[in-house]
Amino acid sequence: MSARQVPKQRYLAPKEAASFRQVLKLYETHQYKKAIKVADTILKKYPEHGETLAMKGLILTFLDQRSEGHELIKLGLKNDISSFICWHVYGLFHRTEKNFDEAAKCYMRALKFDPGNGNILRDLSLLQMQMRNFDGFVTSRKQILSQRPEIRQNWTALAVGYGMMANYDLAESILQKYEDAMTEPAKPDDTEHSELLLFKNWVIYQRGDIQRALDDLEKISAFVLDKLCVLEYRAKYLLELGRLEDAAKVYRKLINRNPDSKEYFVGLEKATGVTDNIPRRKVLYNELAKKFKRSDVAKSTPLYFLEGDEFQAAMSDYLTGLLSRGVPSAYVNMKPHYANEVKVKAIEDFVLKYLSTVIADSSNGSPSNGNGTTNGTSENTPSTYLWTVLYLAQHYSKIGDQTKATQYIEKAIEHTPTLVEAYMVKAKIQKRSGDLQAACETMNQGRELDLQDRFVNSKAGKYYLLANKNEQAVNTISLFTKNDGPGKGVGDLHEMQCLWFITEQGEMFARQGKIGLALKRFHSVKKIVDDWWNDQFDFHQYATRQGTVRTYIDLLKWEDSLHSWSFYTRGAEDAIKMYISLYDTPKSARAAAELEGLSEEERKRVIKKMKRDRAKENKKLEIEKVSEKDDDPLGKNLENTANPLEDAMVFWKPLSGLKEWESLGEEIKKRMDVAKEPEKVVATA
Amino acid sequence: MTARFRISLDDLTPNNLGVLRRINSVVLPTTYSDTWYKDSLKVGELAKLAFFDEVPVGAIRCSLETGKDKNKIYIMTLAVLSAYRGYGIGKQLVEHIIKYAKTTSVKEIYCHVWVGNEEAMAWYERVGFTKCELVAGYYRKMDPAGDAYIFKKIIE
Ligand SMILES: CC(C)(COP(=O)(O)OP(=O)(O)OC[C@H]1O[C@@H](n2cnc3c(N)ncnc32)[C@H](O)[C@@H]1OP(=O)(O)O)[C@@H](O)C(=O)NCCC(=O)NCCS
Repeated sequence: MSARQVPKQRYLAPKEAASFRQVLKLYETHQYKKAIKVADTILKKYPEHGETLAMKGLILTFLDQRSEGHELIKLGLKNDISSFICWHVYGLFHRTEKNFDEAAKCYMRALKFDPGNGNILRDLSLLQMQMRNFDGFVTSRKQILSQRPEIRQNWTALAVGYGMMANYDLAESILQKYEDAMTEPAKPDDTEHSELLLFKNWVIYQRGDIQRALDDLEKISAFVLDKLCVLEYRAKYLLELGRLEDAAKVYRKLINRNPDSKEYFVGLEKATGVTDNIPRRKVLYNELAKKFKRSDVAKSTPLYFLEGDEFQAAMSDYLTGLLSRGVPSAYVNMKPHYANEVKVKAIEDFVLKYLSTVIADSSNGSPSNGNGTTNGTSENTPSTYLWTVLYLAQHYSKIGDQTKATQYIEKAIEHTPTLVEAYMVKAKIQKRSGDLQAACETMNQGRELDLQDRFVNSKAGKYYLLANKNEQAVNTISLFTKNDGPGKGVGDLHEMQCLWFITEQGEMFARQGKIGLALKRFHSVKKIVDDWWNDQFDFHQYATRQGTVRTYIDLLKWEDSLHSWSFYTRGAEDAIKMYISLYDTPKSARAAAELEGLSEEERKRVIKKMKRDRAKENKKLEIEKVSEKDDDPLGKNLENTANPLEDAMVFWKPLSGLKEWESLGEEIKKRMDVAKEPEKVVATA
Repeated sequence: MTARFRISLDDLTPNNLGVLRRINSVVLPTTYSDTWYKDSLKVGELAKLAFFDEVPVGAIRCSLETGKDKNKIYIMTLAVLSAYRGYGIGKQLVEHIIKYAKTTSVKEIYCHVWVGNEEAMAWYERVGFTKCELVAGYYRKMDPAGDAYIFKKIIE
C-alpha cells in the first residue's frame, strides 16, 4: 500500500469513509435510492467532498435526473481535480452519453492519478476498441494481462487486439504462451477453450503458413466442438496447399452435410480443377444434381456458365421443374441471368412455348365435367398454368415491356383471383408503368386476402407511401405494430428501428415539400444506425468473456462497414441534398418564390392558404409525435436550422473515405468555402 | 404414385375472410352484404375454405336453421374457382358439412339451385343430393324472377 497522504479535500472521518465505501457497494449493486441516502449523510458533514458529490451525481443520472447529475459530477471534479474516482465517474458519464472520445480522455486522467487501476483500464480498453484505437487497446490489455494473467479472457482479449491490427505473429505468440501456461487440460465440453483453439488456428492461417495451420488443425480437431468449422478449414487449407484430391473429398463431405451451400460447390469445382473447363464442369454438376436431387445449387449453377444450346437445355429442365411444381420463387431464382440478353431471349422463348403446351394439354385432358373422368393423363395442374403466366408477367416487366406484363398478370388474376403474389406482381407492374395510385390499391387487394401476411402488409404500406397516401400507409402498417404510444404505429416503428418505413416516409414528406418532417425522419435513420454502431459497446465485454472470438471479429468488421450500407446511405443522401437545397434557397427566398408573379389578389389568397395550412399542421402535432418526449413533432427546428451545411456534414461524415460519396461531399464543401469567403474579404480589407 | 397436388380445408378466420369475399364475388351472381360476411365468422364448422396446393380456391358457407321438429343446415354459398373445378374440391367441402352434420342433431342439408343451372343440378345429384320441390320465383332479383329446385340430403 502506498503511504501517500490523503489530500485535505478528500479526507473523511473513519465513519464517513466507511459510508463512502458503502455508497460504492450500493452503486455496484444498483441500489441507487439507498446509495443517494448514504451519500447525503456524508455530504451533511462534508458538503464539499468531491468524490461523494461525483458519485451522487453519477447515481442521479441513473435515476433519470441527467442534468442535475451532470452538474454534481462537474462540481465534484472541481472540488477534487486530482481524484481518480472523480475522473472515472466523469468518464462513465460521457460513456453513457455515447461521447466515447471524451470518456476515454477522462479515463486517461483517472489512470494518471491511479496508475494501473484494473477497473479503469478495462473500461478504457472497451472504449479503445469501440473507437478502433488498436494501439491504445493493446497497451491497456497488456497492463491488464500482467496484473491478472490467471484469467483466460485477458489473454484472448490481447490476442484479439493483435489480430485486429493484423499483427498475427504477436497474436499467435500470446495464445501460445497462454497454452504453455495452462496447468491442467481443458474439459471436453469447454466451448471457450474450443473457440480459442480455432481462433489460434485462424491466426496461424492468417500468418500465411498454411501447412502449419493444417498440422495444427489436425492436432486440435479432437478437442474442437465445432466440427463443421474443422471440416471447412481443412477443405480450404488442403485446397490452398494444392492437395486437390484430399480437398475434393472434404468438399464432398461438406456438400453431403449441406447441399445448398454455394461455397462448398465452388470449393469442389476448384479442387477438381474444372472451373475453367466447361464440359468437365458440366459433368460434375450433372453428377451432383443426380446425387442431391433437392439441391437447387446443383441444378441452377450450370445456368451461369453454359451458353447457347447447352444453356437452352439446362434452363428448360430447370424451369420446367420450377414451373410444374409451382415454385413461387421461380422468377427470383432466374433473375441473375437477366443481365445476359441472349439468355433472356432463350428464357422467353422457352416459357412461351411451355405455356402453349400447358394450355393445349389442359384443353385436351381437362378435368371432368360430368363424365366422371378426372384429369389423369397430364402432369400439369391448374397451378402450372398459373405460375407460368405469373412468370411471364414478371419476365416482361423486368425487360421493360409493361404492356405485355399487364396482359399476363391479368390472365393470372383472372385464373386465380385469390393468389396474394399475383397482386404483388401486378402492383409492381403498375408502379413501373408510373401508375402509383393504382399500384397501391392493387397491393391492398392482395393484402386483404391474407391479413396475417406481414410481408404484403409492409408492401402495401410502402406503396401507399409511394403514392403519397400517408394516412392509409400509417393505418395499414399499424395493423402490425403496438399502437399505445403516440403517432399510431409510427412511434413503434421508430422503437423497432424499422428503417425502410422511416426512410420511405421521409422521402414522401420530401416530395410533399414537408421539409421539417422529412428531415426529422432522415435524422431518425441516422440515429438508428448510430445506435447500432454504439450497441457494439456491450459486445466488446460480452464477446471476450464468452470466448466467441471469431464471431466477434466478424461483427467488428461488419460494424465497420455499417454506414456504407444502403439502409444508411439512402437516408443520408436524401438529407444532404435537402440541406443543400435549404442552403441554396433560404426560407425567405422560398416564400418569395411562391408569391412571385402573382397579382395582388392571388397573393392574398396564397398567403391565406399558407396560414390555413400552418394552422392545420399545428393541429396535427399530436399525431406526428414519434415518442412521448417528442418536442418538435413537425421537425420545424431542423427545417429552420441556421447551419444547413454543417447539418449536411453530420450526415456525410460517416461516408467520408467512401469513393462513391466523394462528389456529394464536394457539393457541401464547395458551398462551405464560398460561405467563408466574405469573412476573408472583410479580414483583408 | 405420388399425388400431383394436395387439397386441404381450413377454417374461415378474420384474416382470410377476404378470400371468401373474392371467391364468391367472382363465381356467384349474387352479391352478399358486409354483415353477411361478418356473420360468416360466427358459423364455425359451417364455413370452410378449400386450398389447392397452398392456394385458396374454393369456399362453402352454410347456416344452421333450428326448427320445432328438426334442425337443418342450409348451404348458402358453395363456389370453386372455375380453373380448379373437377378436382374433387366441391365434393370435399360438401362432405365436410355432411360429416359435421352427423355429429349434431341435424337431420337434413339442403340448398336452392336455379333451374337454369344444369351443371350445378347434375353436380348435386352426383354428390348424393335429391332433387325435390320447385320454388317458383325464388330468385326475385332475376328478371323474370327465377325458379329454383330444392336439393336435399337426409342425414341418417
Ligand atoms: C358446383 C361446384 C361447386 C363443383 O365443384 P367441383 O370442385 O368442380 O366439384 P368436384 O370436383 O368436387 O366434383 C365432384 C364430382 O362431381 C363430378 N362433377 C363435376 N362437375 C360436374 C357436373 N357439372 N355435373 C355432374 N358431375 C360433375 C366430378 O367428376 C366429381 O366426380 P367424382 O367424385 O366421380 O370424381 C363448382 O362447379 C362451382 O363452383 N360452380 C359454380 C357455382 C355454383 O353453381 N355453385 C352451386 C350453387 S350454390
